[in-house]
Amino acid sequence: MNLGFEFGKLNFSATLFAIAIFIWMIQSVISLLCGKKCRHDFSSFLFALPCILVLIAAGASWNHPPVSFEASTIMFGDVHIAEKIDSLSAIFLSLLSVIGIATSAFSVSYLKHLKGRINPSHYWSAISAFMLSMCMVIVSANAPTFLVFWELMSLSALALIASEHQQEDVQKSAFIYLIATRTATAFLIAGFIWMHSIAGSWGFDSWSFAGKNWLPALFIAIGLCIKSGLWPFHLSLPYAYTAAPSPVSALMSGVMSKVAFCAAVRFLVVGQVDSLVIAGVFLGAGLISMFWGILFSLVQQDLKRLLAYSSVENNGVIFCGLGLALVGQAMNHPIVSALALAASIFHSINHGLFKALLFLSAGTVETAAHTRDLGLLGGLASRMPITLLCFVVGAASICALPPSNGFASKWLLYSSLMNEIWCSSELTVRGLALVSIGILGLVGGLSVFSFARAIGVAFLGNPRSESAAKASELGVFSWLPQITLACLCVILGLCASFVTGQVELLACATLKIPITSTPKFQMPMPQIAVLFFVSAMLVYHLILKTSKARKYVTWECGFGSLSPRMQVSSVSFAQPIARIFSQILRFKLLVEIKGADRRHFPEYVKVEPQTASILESKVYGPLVQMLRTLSDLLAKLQAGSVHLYLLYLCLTLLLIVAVGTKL
Amino acid sequence: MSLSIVEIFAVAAALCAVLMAGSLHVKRNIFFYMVQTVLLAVVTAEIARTDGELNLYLIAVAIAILKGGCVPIFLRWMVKRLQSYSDPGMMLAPPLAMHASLLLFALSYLELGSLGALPGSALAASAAASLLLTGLILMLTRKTALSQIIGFLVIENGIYLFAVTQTSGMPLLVEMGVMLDVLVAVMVAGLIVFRIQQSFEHIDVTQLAELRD
Repeated sequence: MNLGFEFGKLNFSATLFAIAIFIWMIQSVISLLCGKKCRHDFSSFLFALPCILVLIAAGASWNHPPVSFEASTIMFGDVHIAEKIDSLSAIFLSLLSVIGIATSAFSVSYLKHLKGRINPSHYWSAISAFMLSMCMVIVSANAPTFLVFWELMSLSALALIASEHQQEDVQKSAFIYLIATRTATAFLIAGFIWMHSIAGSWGFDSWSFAGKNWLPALFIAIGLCIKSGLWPFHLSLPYAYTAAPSPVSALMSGVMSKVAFCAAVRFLVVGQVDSLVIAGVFLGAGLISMFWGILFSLVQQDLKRLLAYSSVENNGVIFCGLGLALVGQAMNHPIVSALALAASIFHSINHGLFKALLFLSAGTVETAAHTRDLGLLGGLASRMPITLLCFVVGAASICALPPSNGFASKWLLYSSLMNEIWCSSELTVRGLALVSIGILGLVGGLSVFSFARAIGVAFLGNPRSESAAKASELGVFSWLPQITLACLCVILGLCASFVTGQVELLACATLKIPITSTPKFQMPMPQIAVLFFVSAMLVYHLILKTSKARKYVTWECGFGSLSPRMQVSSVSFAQPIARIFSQILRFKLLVEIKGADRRHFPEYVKVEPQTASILESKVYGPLVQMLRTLSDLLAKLQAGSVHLYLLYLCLTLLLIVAVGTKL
Repeated sequence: MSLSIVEIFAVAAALCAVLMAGSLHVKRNIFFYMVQTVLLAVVTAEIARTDGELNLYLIAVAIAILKGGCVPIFLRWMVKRLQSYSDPGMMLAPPLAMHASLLLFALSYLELGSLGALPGSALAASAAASLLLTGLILMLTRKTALSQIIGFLVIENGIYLFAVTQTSGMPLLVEMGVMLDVLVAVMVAGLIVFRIQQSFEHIDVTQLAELRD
C-alpha cells in the first residue's frame, strides 16, 4: 500500500516517524496472522524498535520549527491525513516511546507468567495498534485524522482491557470503559463539527476559540475530561486499569490520558481560549478530582485500583494546572499562564513515568504473589527487594517528596498559584488561588498517607497468605524496565532545574508570549536532595535508632500464638482518615458478633469495612435505571402485530405528507 | 372546473379503492382491483397520446394484461383454493373504513392539491396519494393474508399512478421491471399464504404476532 510518503522530500524526523508507524502497522497485522505461534521476544523487539525510532525523531525535532507532512493518497472526501511534529508533540512522543520500550520488555515476563490466560497474538496486535494510534493522535494536524486515530486508540485499548474476557468482571469493566470512551468521542465530534462550521476548515491551525467560540471549546473540553477521567467521569478508570493487564494499565495511565492532555493543550491553549468558563471547568474538575481520587485511593483493597484512583488524582493536578494556565490567558497574566502550563506539562511527563513504573511494579507483585488484594499481601520486602526499591521510588515521586521529579512539577504548580495571588487584583481570584493551594497541600498529605499504606501493607511485615510467602522476583525482563523508569524519575528530579527551563521555553512558545517576560526559576534540586538525605539520616540515627529492638513474649490475649493476621491491616491503617471523610466515602464498619453474651470470649467476630461511591449509587445508577425503563417503554412499540406496524406506517406517511407540503 | 381525461380516470380509480374499503367480499374486492388497474392503464394510454410516446402505449397494454388480467385471475384461483370468500375484518367496520378512506381522499386533495409538477396533474397526484392511503387502510382493516395482498397491490397502484402522472412516464425497461416485480411478489406472497394455511390451518394475520424481541 502506498501511503503517499515521499521519503526524498521528508526531513529526518518525519521519515523515522513514518517508518515507525509502518512497523507497528505491519506488526499489528502479522501478530494476528501468527495466531498461537506468536513469539514474545520477537514481538517485543518488533514493538520496541519503532519506539526507539520515535524517540530519535522526537529528539531531533525538539526545539526545531514544526515539521508538517501529509499522506495525501489516503483521502476521506476532500480531507486527508495530516500530521505535524512540533516541540509539544515531541515531548509527548518521547514519553510515549520511553514507556513503550519499558512495557515491551515487561510484557515478555508478564505474559510468560500468565501463560494461557491472555492470547499473545491478540495482545501484540492490539498493543501495536494502540501505540500507532496514540502516536498519530499526538501529531495529528486536522480533525478527521485526529478522530480516526482517536477511535482506533480507544478501541484497541478496549481490546486490551478485554484481554481476559472470560472473566465476568473484566467484561463489565470493558463495557464501562466503552461507554465512557463513546461519550467522550461524541462530545469531541460535536465540538469539531461546530468548529468546522465556524472556521470553515478541518485544520487545527486555523481554529481559534477566542471570544464567542467558547461553546464548541466547552464541548471539546468535556470530551477530553471524560477521556482523561476527571471527576465526575472518573468511574471508568478504576475499572479499566484494574481489568487490563499491567503493562497495558501502565500505557493507558502513563500515555493515553496524557494524549488527552496534549490534545487539550493543542486545542484550547494554542487555540487562544480566553473564556473563564472553560478555565473554571478545568480548574474545578481538576481540584475536585484530585481530592476525590486520593480519598478513594486511600480505602482501596486492590493494589491496581489504588493506583487507578491515584491516577485520577494526578490527572486532576495536571488539568488544574491547565485550568490555571487558561485563567492566566484570560486575565492576561503571562507569567502565571507560562508557569502553570509548564507545571502541567512537566507533571504529565512525570506522572506518565512514575505511574507506569508503579503499574509495572504492581504487575510484578500480582504475577509473583498471584493476588492484588492488599489483605493477602505483605512481607514482600525481603522476597522482592528490587520491586520494593522501584515501588518506593515511584511512590516518593508521586507523593512529591523533594529530590524526585514529582516534587519539581508540583513546586512549579504551587509557585504559579502563588504568582496568581500576587498578579491578580480581584479578591475572588486571589481567594480561589489560596483555596487551591490549600487543597493541593491536603491532597499531597493524603497521597503520602495512601502510598505509605500501600508500601507498608504490601511489602513490610509478614506475608498474609501462602502465595505471598512464596513470591520471588520474576527475572531480568521484569526488573530492568522498572529500574530504568525509576532512574529516569530520579534523573528528571535531579536535573529539574534544566528540565523546567526547557519546559518553560516550550510553554512560552505554545502560549505565544515572549520568553523574556517570564522569570527564570532556578531549582537547587541537588542541594535539596543532599539536605533531604542528610536530615533523613540525622532523624533516623538520632531519634529513631536509639530505641533498640527488644525481644520478649507478648501477652496473646489467650487466642493462641501471634499470626500474620494480627498485623496492622490495610483496613485498619486507612480507618482514621476514612472516618474523617466518611460522608464522602460512605465509610461504614459492619461488625457481626456471634455469642456476644459470652463477653470477652465471643464465638465469632466479623468486621468488614464498606465504602461506596456516591456517584455510582446516586447519579449513574439512577441514570442507567432511567435509560432502562425508557427502553422498555420503547420496546412496547414493537408488539409483533402486522396491523400495528401498518398503522405506524400510515401515520408516518400522513406526517410526512403534512410536513412536506407545508415546507 | 374542467377536468382532463387523466384526472377523471385517476379519480375513478381512487373511488374504486374507496369502494373496496367498503366491502368484505374478497372476490368483489378483486373485481374492483381489476377495474382500478384497467382505469390506470387508460390513464397511461391517455398520457401516451398527449405526449406522443410509443413506450407508454406498450406499458398501458402490459398493465392491462398482466396486472389487470393475470393477477386477478391468480387471486381468484387462490380464493377458491383457500376457501376464503369473505374476510372477517377488524378495527373498523367496512362502512366506517369507507368513510375514513373518503376522508383521506379529501385530506390528500387539500394537502397535495398544489403539488402537481405537470400542468393538469394536481388532482391526479391527490388521487394517487389517496390510493396509497386507502391501500394502507385496506391492509389495516383486513384480517386474512389474502386481503393483505390485495391492499398491498392497491398501494402499488397508487405509487405507479403518482409516478406516471408526475414524471410523464419512466423508461420502458424500468417500468417493465417494476411490473414483473409485482407479479413475482404476488406469486411469492401467494405461495407463502398457501404455506401458512398448511402449517397453521388459518390465514389470520393477527395471530402471527410471535416475531419480535
